[in-house]
Amino acid sequence: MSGVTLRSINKTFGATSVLSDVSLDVGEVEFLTLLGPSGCGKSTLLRIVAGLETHDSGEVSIGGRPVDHLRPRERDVAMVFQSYALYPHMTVAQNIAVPLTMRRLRPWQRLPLVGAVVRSVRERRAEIDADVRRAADALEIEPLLDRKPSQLSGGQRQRVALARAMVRQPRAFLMDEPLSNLDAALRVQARAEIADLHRRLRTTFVYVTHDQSEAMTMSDRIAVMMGGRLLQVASPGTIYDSPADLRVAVFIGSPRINTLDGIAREGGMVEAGGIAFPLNSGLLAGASLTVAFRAEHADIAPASDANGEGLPGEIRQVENLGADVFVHVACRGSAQPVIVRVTPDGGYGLARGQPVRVRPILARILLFAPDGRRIEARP
Amino acid sequence: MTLAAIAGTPGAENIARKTPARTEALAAYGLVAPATILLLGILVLPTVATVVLSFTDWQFGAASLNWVGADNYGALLGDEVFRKSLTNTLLYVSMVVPASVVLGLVVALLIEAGTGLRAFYRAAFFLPVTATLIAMATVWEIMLHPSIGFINLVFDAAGLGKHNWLKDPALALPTLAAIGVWQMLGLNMILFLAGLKSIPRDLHEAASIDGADGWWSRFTTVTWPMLGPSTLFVLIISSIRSFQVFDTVAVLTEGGPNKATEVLLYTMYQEGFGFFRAGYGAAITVVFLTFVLLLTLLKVRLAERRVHYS
Ligand SMILES: Nc1ncnc2c1ncn2[C@@H]1O[C@H](COP(=O)(O)OP(=O)(O)OP(=O)(O)O)[C@@H](O)[C@H]1O
Ligand SMILES: [Mg+2]
Repeated sequence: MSGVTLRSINKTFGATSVLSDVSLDVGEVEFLTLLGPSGCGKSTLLRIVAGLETHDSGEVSIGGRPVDHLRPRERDVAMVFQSYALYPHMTVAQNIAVPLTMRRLRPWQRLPLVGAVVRSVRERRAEIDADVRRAADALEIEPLLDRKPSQLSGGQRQRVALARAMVRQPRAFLMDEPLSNLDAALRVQARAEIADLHRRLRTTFVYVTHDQSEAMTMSDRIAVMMGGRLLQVASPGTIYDSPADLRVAVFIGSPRINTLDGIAREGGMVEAGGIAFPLNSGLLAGASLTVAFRAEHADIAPASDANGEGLPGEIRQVENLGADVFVHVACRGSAQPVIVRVTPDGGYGLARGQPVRVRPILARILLFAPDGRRIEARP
Repeated sequence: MTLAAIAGTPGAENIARKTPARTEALAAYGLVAPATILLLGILVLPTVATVVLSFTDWQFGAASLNWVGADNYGALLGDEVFRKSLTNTLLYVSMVVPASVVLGLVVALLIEAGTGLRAFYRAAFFLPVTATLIAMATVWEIMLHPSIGFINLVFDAAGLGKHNWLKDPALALPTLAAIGVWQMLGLNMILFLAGLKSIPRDLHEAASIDGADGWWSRFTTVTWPMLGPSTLFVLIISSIRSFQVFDTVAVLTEGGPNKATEVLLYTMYQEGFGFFRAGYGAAITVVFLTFVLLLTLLKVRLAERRVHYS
């Protein structure tokens, strides 16, 4: 059985296509993150899963059951909104209880005073209270149960929203940038808490963010979206080390991956930045491609190096961050300076204006075709 | 005005160098002066004058007046017409306010839920608010005409018989109340629509995921509680406005038949400008102002206490 399955989802708003042919399988106990720049359609996709938005074509199933025709409540998912969407007129306890009262009590049983008169309703209300306490306990918000949302801090509201989502043990959790309203320190803490919540609940989490560090630290797999399409769905390590598309490579990682314009040459060579690398791209000689490598997959050699290996360039800036030093080198074939990470010791004595050579690790060089597709290079 | 003038003159600069704090105070007075003067001139003075007049026997246009103490108020207590007028006004308010608030909410919900023709419905219901009631009252007079009026034609066709809407003592006040509801509905609807618009969409969506997706549970979980501030405002505004009922009475019934539609403002107008007993009219105005003031205070108190969530 699987958690959430999407088959060829398409969605347009008026004339603009927002999602094109999105297919995705989220495992039953998987934490999957939808990652992409603003406006790429992440929220829309999540809302389609929740049933808050209708798709034009395709199929959504949750827990192996097609849900396209079902209303949000029947899909048995919980959602945490970016704004938290807490009911402002209710206390924290009442907020957390809403999903339970709506499901366990009939409309007339929810009326005030019915609980005081009808015994079965009273018992059911007591069960609900106990469940609310349990959820509040799990998120350490018990002392806040009698407050109104307006009397809570951002972090506390976020926990209340989580408690309201988990109180009912839904089949899947959908979260739309739940941490984006928190300050940086709190965000790191909440990140760990959500990951921990996932480990405890062992259900499907679909988490939307445009923050790659959230995606990298929390997810089992990341689905990178751009322009309404899924570019790659893979583990954080694979996304980082072996991106399937140049746009993924550029979007993930800080500093940005270095890219150089290159040309395939005969004899299994690729020429870029004025030198030839022994990389077999499998392309015809003369075909253009992009050569890319990350800052930590290269080092700096003096320009006077006798065997003349590496891309010649000139240092533009030395950025010392304490543990790491990023050296920006202007090289031929690259519009932006190539960035190389060196240790503080290695950075010692490097200065602006100095001519150097940048030596990428051959095995870590990535090649991309002009359409962005990854080319497997054989050294 | 004089303070403002001083603060603005070159002479004021000399003072400024000596005592900056005093100049600042002068400037502050100068800045609040226009608003204060307007407030005094337009609101406070006339009110005070009315209260003062209510303790005199001034006749409209007379050159002299005598202090009569609380005599006017004493006379009010024994005045059959005034008592009738007060109960009529309260009756009118108790008919118009609930009906116009509930209908305003229902219409707003229907417009919000529907898809097409929203602008048309909004405009149609809002029209009576913008139209001059005197002109509209004439239209109503024709509609309510006992023999040729459209309403009686409909009632007759439906087998409910013809009624003399404005001349029947039992029907005259309810008829005016119905016109009052017709006129007030649009404003209440617009206020409720604004309230509905200000409910975050997230809340409705959270409710539908949490299981509140029938219209009744959605209404009780999100819509109605979130409309709290709007509802309070609508209630108070409707009460104050229906307390002020005057034009329909003046045009359609002139307080009749047999004082059945005598209301506070109409009695006041009659006493002051019909019988020229300005002092007595002023006493009625003071009673009227007291009700409006109480309603306003109620609104302020409730608004502070409960109905705001932010
Ligand atoms: N109701 C709507 N009507 C029209 N266009 C919409 C609607 N909702 C979203 N869009 C458009 O669809 C695209 C995707 O929106 P979506 O909210 O899914 O982006 P997102 O990836 O969640 O972005 P963000 O990170 O900024 O939240 C955007 O271009 C947006 O303008
Ligand atoms: Mg979004």
